[in-house]
Amino acid sequence: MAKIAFYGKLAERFGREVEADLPAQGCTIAALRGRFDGLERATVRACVNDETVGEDHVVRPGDRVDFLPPLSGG
Amino acid sequence: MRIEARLAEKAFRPDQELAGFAADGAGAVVSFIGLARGETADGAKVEGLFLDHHPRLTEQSLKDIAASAARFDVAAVRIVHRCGAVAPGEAIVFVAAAARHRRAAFEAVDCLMDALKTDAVFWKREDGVDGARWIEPTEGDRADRARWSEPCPD
Repeated sequence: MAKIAFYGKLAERFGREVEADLPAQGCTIAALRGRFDGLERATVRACVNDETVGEDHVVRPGDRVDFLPPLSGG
Repeated sequence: MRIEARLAEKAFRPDQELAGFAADGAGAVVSFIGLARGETADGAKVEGLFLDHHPRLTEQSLKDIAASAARFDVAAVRIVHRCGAVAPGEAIVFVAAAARHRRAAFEAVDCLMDALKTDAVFWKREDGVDGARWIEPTEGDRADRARWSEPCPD
């Protein structure tokens, strides 16, 4: 399992946080995006354990993943 | 340089933030207060704003932005930023800078506000009478931010 959190308009669509089943060897950010509709790579940033990561980053069970839509700023 | 940056989950008093902003030896203190407007850019009535935030990255972004004021000759900066539900007329942001001389304090606050408008980790929703709308930075915000990307004059 990994915790996946969403913010802004994504949180309205998917909820603030969901738990995702992962294979024991983990799964890439790209594969995780594919499980949800609307997490476009160009605009939605992925963070794992508070660090921005690329598409090939492997998410392991127990990780926390954040999908951040474009910031509105303060 | 003393750096203070804080996320406020409830309404705060900008006057108290200013009064508590110690600036020993400073000859100038500049402060700015941003208030939630009661209208959208199109003039539609806004019943409130909602600022969604990240449990750690948002406060870290405020600290990073505050620290960026080191490029100016300032002794102290303070940023207080609201999150959650904000009613029209309430303060969203307070920024202050203290310096020996006024120019650095003015520039630091101006630069910090431009950075906050694009780089602070928030997702802002306007709740109006005819629905809610998520806001994204405008070209104007990006242009304001870019003003400070050029090298400082010597």
